Amino acid sequence: MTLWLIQPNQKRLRLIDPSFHPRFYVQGAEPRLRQLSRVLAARGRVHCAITEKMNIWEGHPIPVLEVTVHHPAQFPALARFVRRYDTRFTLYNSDLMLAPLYCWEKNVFPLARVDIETARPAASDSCKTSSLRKTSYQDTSVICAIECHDDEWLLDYELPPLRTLQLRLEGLSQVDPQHGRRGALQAEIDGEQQILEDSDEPVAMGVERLLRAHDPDLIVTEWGDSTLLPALMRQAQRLGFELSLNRDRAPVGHSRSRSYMSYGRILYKGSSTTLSGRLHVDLRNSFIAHQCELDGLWELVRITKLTVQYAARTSTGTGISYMQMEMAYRDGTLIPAQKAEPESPKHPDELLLADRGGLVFPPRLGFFENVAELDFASEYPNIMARFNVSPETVNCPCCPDAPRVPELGYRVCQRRRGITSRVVERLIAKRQQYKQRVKAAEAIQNSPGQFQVPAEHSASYSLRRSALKWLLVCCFGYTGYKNARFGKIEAHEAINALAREKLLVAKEVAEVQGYRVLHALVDSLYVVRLDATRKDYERLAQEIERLTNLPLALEAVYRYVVFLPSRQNAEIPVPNRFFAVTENGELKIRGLECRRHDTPPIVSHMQRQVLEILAEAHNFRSYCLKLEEARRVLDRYLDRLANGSTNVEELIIRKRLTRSPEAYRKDTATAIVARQLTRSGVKLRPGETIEYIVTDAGSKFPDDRFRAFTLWEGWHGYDVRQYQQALRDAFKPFEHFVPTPPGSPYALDSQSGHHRLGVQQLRP
Amino acid sequence: MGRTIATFRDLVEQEMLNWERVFGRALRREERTYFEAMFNRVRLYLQACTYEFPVNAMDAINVAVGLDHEIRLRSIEARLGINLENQWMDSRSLPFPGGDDAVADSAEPETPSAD
Repeated sequence: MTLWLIQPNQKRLRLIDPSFHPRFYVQGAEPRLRQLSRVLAARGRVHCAITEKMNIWEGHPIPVLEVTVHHPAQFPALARFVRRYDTRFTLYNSDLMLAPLYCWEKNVFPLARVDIETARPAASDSCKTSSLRKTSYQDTSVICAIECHDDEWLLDYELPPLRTLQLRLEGLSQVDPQHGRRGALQAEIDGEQQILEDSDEPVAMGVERLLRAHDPDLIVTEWGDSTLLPALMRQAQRLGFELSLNRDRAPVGHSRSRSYMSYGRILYKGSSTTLSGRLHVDLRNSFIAHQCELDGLWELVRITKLTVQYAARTSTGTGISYMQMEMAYRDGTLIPAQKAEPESPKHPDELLLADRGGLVFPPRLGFFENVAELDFASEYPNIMARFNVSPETVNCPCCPDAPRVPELGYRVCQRRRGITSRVVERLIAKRQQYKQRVKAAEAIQNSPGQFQVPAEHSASYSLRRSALKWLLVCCFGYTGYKNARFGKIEAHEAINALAREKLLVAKEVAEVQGYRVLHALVDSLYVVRLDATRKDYERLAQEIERLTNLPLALEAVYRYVVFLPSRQNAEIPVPNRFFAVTENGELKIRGLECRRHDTPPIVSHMQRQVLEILAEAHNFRSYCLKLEEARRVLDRYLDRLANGSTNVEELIIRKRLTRSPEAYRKDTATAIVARQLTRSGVKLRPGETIEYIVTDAGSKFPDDRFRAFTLWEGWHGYDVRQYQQALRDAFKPFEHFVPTPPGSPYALDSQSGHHRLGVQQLRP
Repeated sequence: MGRTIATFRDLVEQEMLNWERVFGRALRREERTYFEAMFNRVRLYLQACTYEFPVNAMDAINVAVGLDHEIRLRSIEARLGINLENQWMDSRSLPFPGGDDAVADSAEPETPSAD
């Protein structure tokens, strides 16, 4: 196992730990196991022994063959061999990644502070994982002992002093450079920014110069995985030198891109370029770095023990799986190689009852004042933790008389604490502590004359908290995931049943106390009573918390909430399409255009500006007055479009390809633009996002209707009418419940359904 | 959810299409609009239908339609200031107050809501 460390004296080291011998386990008939141990001994340096280990589903130990592999590099190959050798064998712990396995065994984790003892004399030092100077990396020391002086559950921790090089292309970062976006390479290190252009020196040479001069530990890029680093490596190769992206001689890791289906949607995962001795994080190919920045990524890496580059590119589900596996490993429980627990047979009636999600009460439509939002905090994880719902505890064989889950009648184990329950318990606790830190930091910042806490501390806590949220979200989903090792659909169903029960109890309590439930969405309730004060709502929250045994918080009291109907049918409410303003004037927006990814920025900006104005209103009357002010914002935007003073980047519409460009049958915007890009040499795959401008939606020639952003040139112009219509449509939700005075220029045009705005002359 | 078993929202849609094919074909054009509206309004009570989830989806849809009619009838009664319950045996025409349209002429509520 190779480790990279940073010493306190800033020296970077490459170290090898030869004492790591990973183990896997094989279950089968004893004579066959003995035969297998002989065969394995002939194939590689292994040590085999029959032993007993705990089986998670049965809850008691079973005899297995323990295979200790001397050289970690042989571990995957030997496990594969056993699988093929006899398909009747059941393998455990056999397909785990080696880095986390090493961490579990040595009680360390990535980015931790460690004490090591190396084979060289007088080399006992306090170090941190990561790396340095090219010449020294080849003479590798050997680790004799490693001890962790850090705790992954700490709230305040020191990160290794990573030297960071940032690489990005100039221009709009959201547009994939593979779609034809061109721009100079921007490099930033130690606060110094440089523009690298081929006109001065080949860009690859410029990057090589930076790598040699600064020897960064971390390279943060935008589109580095699929475009920047491969292109730089190709250029270096053409120029006859090797780019020193890696600190050792290992080749640069590369994986292919792929399209896949998830929840009925086709998604695209870009290729990856991973380094050795340095960390490469592509902000455009990392869910967690995109959502929670690098602070979130570091938090995730520390507690899941996945390597940085892997964690940056994988789903958070893998992180939670590895946390569960670590728990099982520490319990001495076998980790199944594949999912081994099929769904238990059910009568169709039972299936109808069991296969249901959380309850959603469609909202009452309209404008409501003095509304409170009550949220069960991390409800599903809390159900798992408090009611011990974990795959191995639901319908366990050991507790036939255990209490039953409502509606379904499943039993929950009373003897063992579930693995998932224990994992989420710690996550919930840490997340709660971060929340307290954020609140404390905000309170200090808001009180004048107090010692000021740097704002970045509070921001960092929020980002880490958000990273933990993603782990918790996945944790519930994974109980029902077909490939999850510790997945069991009955656990998933039990959690949902409990959540429905708790929501109904909350609704009943609210109604008994004279509140009206306007909307309820799985784990949150919107209740109203006109004369209720904040104290009343708090008391209600406490009462619900007491009766449900789940933490419930008064998320906010809103001055007003506007619940909007479906776009197709003005009578039908839809969950998650509303906007609300809290007592402090903060906005909560759901389902409006400005929250959607395919809305052109000009529409989002208009909607947000309008909402800022409306947020000043306190009741329906002042809302109506503010709406007049807001209409002037709309007018200004309409004018900007008509007189061409808008920026073209504000007009970009982003859409995801649902199939490959040639598979489209109709001339939809996506199809037309995908074909344009394909013609210009761009290789598009399903799930990729493309950007375009509406040039002339009504044109006879499909190709003239829309233009890919990267192929757009000024002379194409943009379709003023279409964008203006988009602006007007985005304004409609704000006036939905406001009667328009007759004769107003904003009155609905009975024929077109659009507002008559006589002032604009639309450009053809 | 929604994969092994269809969601109730999908079931309402499916039932509407099923009924539209034969039953709907024999309806007049003006009646068909209300037919669709009737099914659409079941979506207001989806949570209760989902919670009950009968083997035959139409059982819950029927209850939801009946409940919706009851609620709307009561609200019309309230707006008109009448009580149909006391008059269920009365064969006389409904006591509409004078004027063109009682519902349309009623004052706007202070903070309008759609229900």
